[in-house]
Amino acid sequence: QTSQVKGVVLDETNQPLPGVSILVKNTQRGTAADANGRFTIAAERGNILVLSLVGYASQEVTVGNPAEELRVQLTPANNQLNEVVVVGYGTQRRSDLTGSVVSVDAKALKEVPSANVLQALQGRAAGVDLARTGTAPGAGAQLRIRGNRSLSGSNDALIVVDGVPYGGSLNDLNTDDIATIDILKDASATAIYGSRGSNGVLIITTKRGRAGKPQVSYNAYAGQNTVLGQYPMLNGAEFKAMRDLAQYSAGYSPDETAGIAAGTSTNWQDLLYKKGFVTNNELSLSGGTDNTQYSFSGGYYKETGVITGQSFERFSLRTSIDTKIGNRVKVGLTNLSNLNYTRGEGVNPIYNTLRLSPLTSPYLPDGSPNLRPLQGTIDELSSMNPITLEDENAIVQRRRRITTFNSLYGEVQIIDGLKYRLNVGLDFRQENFGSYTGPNTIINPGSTLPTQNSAAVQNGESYRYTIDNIVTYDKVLAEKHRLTFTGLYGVQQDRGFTNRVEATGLPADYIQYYNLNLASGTPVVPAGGNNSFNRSGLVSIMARVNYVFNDRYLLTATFRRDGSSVFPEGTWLNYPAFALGWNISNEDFMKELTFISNLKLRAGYGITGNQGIPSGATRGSLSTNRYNFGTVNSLGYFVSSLGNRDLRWESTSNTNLGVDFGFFNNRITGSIDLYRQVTDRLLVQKNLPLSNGANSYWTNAAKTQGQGVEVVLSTVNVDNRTAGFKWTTDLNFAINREKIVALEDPAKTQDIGNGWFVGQPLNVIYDYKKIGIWQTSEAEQAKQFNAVPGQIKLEDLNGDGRITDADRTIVGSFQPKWIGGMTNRFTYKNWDLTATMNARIGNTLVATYFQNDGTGTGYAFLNNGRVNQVKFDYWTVNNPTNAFPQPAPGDRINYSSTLGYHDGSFVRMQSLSLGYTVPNSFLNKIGFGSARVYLTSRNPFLIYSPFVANGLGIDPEGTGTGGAVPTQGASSGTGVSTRAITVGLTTPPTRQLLIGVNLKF
Amino acid sequence: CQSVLDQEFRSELGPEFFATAGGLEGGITASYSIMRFFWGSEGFTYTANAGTDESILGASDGDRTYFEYANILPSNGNITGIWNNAYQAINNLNGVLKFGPSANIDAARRTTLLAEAKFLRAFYYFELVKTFGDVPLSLQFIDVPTTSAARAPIADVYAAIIKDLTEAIQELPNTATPSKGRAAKPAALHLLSKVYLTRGWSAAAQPTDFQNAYTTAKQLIDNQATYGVGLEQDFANVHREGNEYGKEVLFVVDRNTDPSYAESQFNNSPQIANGNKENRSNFFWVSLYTNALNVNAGISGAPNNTIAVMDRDLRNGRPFRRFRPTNYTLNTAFGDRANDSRYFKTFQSAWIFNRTVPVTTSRGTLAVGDTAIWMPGVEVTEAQRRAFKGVIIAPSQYTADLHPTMTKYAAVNRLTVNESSYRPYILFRLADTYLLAAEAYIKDNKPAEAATLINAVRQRAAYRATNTAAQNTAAAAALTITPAQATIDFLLDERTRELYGEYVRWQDLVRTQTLKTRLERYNPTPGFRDFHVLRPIPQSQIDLTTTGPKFPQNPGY
Repeated sequence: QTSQVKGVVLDETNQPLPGVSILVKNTQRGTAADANGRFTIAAERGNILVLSLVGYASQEVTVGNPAEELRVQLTPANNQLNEVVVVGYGTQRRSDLTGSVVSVDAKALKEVPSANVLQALQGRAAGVDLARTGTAPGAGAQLRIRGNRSLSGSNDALIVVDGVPYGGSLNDLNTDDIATIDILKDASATAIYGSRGSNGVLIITTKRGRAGKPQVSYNAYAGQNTVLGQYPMLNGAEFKAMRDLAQYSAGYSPDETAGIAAGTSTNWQDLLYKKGFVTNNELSLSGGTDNTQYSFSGGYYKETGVITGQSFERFSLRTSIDTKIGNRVKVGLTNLSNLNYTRGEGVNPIYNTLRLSPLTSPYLPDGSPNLRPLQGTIDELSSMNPITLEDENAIVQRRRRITTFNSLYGEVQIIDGLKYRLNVGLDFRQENFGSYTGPNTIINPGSTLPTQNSAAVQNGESYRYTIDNIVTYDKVLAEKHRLTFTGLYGVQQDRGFTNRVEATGLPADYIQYYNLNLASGTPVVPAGGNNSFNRSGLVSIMARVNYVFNDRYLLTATFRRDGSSVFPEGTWLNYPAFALGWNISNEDFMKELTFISNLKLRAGYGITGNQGIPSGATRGSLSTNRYNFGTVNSLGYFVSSLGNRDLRWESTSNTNLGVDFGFFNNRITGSIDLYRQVTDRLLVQKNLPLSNGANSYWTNAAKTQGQGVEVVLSTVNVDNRTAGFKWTTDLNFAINREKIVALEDPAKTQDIGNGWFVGQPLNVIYDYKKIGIWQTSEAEQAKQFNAVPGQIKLEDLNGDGRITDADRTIVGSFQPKWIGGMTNRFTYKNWDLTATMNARIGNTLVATYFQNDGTGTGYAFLNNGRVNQVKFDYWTVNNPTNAFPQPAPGDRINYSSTLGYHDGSFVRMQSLSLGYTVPNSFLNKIGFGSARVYLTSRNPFLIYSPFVANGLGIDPEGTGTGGAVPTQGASSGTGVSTRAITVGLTTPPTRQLLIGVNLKF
Repeated sequence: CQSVLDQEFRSELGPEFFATAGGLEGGITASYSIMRFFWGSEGFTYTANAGTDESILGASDGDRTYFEYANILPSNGNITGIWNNAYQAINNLNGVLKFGPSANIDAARRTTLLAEAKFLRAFYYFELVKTFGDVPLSLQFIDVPTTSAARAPIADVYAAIIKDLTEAIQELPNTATPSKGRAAKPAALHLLSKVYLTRGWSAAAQPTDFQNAYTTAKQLIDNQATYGVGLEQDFANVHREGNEYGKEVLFVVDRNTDPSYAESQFNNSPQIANGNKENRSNFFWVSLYTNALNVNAGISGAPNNTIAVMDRDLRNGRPFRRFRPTNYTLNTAFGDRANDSRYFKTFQSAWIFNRTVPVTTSRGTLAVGDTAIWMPGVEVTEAQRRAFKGVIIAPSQYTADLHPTMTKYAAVNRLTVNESSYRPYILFRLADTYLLAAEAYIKDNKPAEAATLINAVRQRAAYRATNTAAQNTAAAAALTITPAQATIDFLLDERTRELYGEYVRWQDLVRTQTLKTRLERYNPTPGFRDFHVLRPIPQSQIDLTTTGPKFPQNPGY
């Protein structure tokens, strides 16, 4: 007979696990474990209890003696075969998967407290490469799944949140709200997303409520942001030595002369960098009954940068409700609302600070600031004292985003196994940007009059709606045949516009950008992309069959057909995919091999597409310029781009072979995937010979190919339960080799203007090859090349005794030889230690501050003594180095682009975290469910980086894309220069030290 | 659902917009505006003035490339800029000429606008053919881009230019309204005359070219009243700030003080064209008058006192010192400063003290209003130095940094000293028309006619407002030349006197095939080679011509 069965649920470290839902199998009876992991449920002997919790493998327990307290230990779901994996338009058991999917759960995300999802993913999933593209708070990263495929189209992965394609920035999502991230990598998994699947799919599932008592949790951390280092600049004496060598003609200003006499050597960066502050707070409530579950959370994140005025702040609110109406209907809603402020994103005083002469002083003898340290030089008006940055009214940049992401579904169980589901998504974003720059600051040093200020206001809004009709039929036939059919008809539309107004001559700093009507200058609507409108639509039909025989043989077949408004002709294209799987370990003949816990083979093939081009690429367009005829002002219109109505989709075919394995009772688990992808009819923004009158157009040309290996390994190295010590390791490793297979004209093997070379990765550096510096003993030989000792020595590749275009070659690539990540977790009783490392090895970086072509690209006045510069080993008669040329007069250094290429390899300790879980016995007394406190250092140190070790910079990761000095021989702004991941003079990267708590009530 | 797949354009115009009234006006406006990339930009200024007998690099922080002919790479951005911007304008004009005839606009206005379009297309092709030789020639609107390209012989290019200009002259008005930023007959006649003259010197010469050159020029010179033009009486007025639409001016690259339509940072407006279309001509010739110097140099026994005697200010300009006159310019071309007033109207010789910090020389303390630096243009004695409170810089003391400043482009009426100029750039002026016609007469063996035209320019140069009428007459008589003196060599000297720094010298010497000899004689430049009379085809044009035959580079590069 039924009696009250009591029990306690424990996690893998024997700590009580609250929130576990407990259901008596085949009944509607359920409950949830309380804060101490305890539960009581009505059941009788022989009943089966199903215990489940997100992130853990669900477990079934048979009730024995109802009077005995049950003790159930749940194990983390990671690598568990019954774990449910979110795939496109549905879920699958991991054991049934035929595609290459990696999952990262909330627990792993929490190990690296991060401002956004991309930071948290760095180094965590094989084949997922994240390269930082900015260092100021709120900056983004470049996400690449299995490398690049497209030459000019987008290479960004599709992001799907709760079943709805997401159009916003990952910065808008609070990491705390995420339950799991599933990354679909191969075509058999991504083909379901058809025209948008080529670049991989990131499926984010947010947290939802579970039946049980209300659960309150509070997670928070706070800490400090400090610069990882300072740019290694020349000090006073070194600067003087360099300037004298360069024979800088304007000599020293009176202040500098005095500084030399007094031995002044100012490190201007000391005035610039501050300590920043980071905090994150999240309070959530979730719970529900069998019929209705709810979850709410509110979050607040703030990070202030190491430079005054830079910060990122986010307020987020999440709501989810799921409810059943009767037995057959279920409806639910997720709302993610978010308000964030990025301040000072474009405030970059670094260059103006670094160029200041170290021979001058920040303060005058009377203690007041020396506002114009370059007074008396020709650069007097080109820079100012960095303390002018502190004027909060004079330098303002604020970007405010408000986004609301809504996903609504209704599900009807039509007959047993047949479900109809309607997904409706609305993703709306509004962005407002305002900036004001006053005169007499380091940002605007050339302006000295009160009216020489400028302000801008920019507004943009965009929305995306999605309507998906999904039919699913799930049936088990004759016990051994499990069949799932999914059908879809969906529509998506995007629409957005932006406008911008700029004005000058605001009457006072405090007006900032709030009232441009007060400006004395006529407000201007600037040309370019800041005033834009776009709309695009997508209609899709899809069908998928999953078939599993006897838990051993797996088959997935998908067909999708997409139509896109981006292409006026040839709108529709088909995307088929096919995959097979074999669970070898379920075969009878494997039963003997007990050390093999799991072994599965997977093979898949599919075609996916990419439509990542601007919506107007099929039609030429006019740009505006301005002119006046005397006092009569006129707007001009000119043909700036030529269209191509015949544009088509670019499509990628992808083959994937994988093996999943588990040995020794799953103490060692992992997978190996081999893949090969071929992208054809690439969407290419092709540069044109300028005799066309326009510099580029979009076309389908060329073919690329990528192949690679991905290895994921998780091991339990030590698990000594008696001592309470456990050590586990997660390792991932990926090699990707991308290359161009054919160009538009199949007869050509290179397109130098665009920087594309058959057989080479998509983004390479094509330039002269610097082989050193001409030495004194080589004066005669140097003369032949129009050079003198101390200048850059290039390799004369064709040996014709001259340096010509023919001597250019591939000197570097942004493709790493391999990327990897490793997380080690140690637990000892109540203590836990997590160390996360990541590595990118073998890629080249472009340090733009070692380049100068005299046209304003690179670091102006490099090596001519006019301004200070990053210290480098330059050639002199007494220092016959081969690293950098001798200082010399003149604005440009010939072939200086070759000075910027360096080894970008690194191994980074990404985070170190030490936690302590407060013992239950203590918590029970004060009414807490569980509590953990931790200390984390994000980005504590670099383990390996030749670039930093050689004193060339602060950090080997990119600070942006583009801005490199063009390969001499390519027209400016083309080739590698716009696609390069560059290291420039921006806000230095930071190190964070955080202290945090995770509390449950 | 079909509507979801429809395209919607709301933020961009297509080329068919030129078939409307606003589109036709705007398409032509934009084509004028592209001229701003050239005159006044630093790179173009080098290509037009550097590497000649007239000027050498002012100081160390300029680009030496064009001065030394050492390393003019096909990838050089200045060369690429000329090519790219000219072709951008040309295809735009092709579009205007394709769609414009159907624009619903007053017929007379449409005719004028289409004539302007032809003038402009000829103008840009002339820049290309002078700079690069054989160039791709397309007179049809390119709306389907192509990755193949071929060079048309200069004969074809010249023929197209002459056809466009001849047709334009038929339709253009006699005078430009509302400003000389629009092409009218005077500009077109001047340009056509120069085109004939240039072709006459070239390998594509036609026997009637020189005759056509002076006939065309004479049509303008002989009908000055009809066209509302004439020579200024005083050379000083030609480039006087505020007189950019003066009677001698035929055509300007227009500009005004409006913060946005000037497309420059003047008055701290947003940099609409990233500074690439600013008129920075007011920077390049300014010497470093703010540098510290020994104020007692040349005074025996006085202590060395090295201090700046001037602060940077609006009147004296931003000291970019990219160009300074050669000895040829100072001593040969401008050798006669007694009769010819142009030296002192071209170069600054006095800097008036403006510092707040006291500056004391061995001769006394400078007060605001005193002359702080004086460049008399001749050597001085120590006694003369002792009698002068400020600092005298004699020619022997000129340095790369400190030398006479050419003041034709001075723009005093700016807000701050580092701003570029708001002044329209004077592109064609009547005195140049006289000299072009004279050149054509010399080549056609009519020295008497040539001398008459040269004398008109020289006699004007004699005029000084401070002189009596008799003194001016005497000076004019002294400057008058005989037909025998009317040689190309003399004419080139005369062009220096009249047009120093006016962005024509390099082309003048190339046209007259005297670049090599004049460099050897007046400004030895070891890097110069015969092939340098053409600029290299931009590397990007060669690299991006990926279909069909390889795009040929000019010889030598």
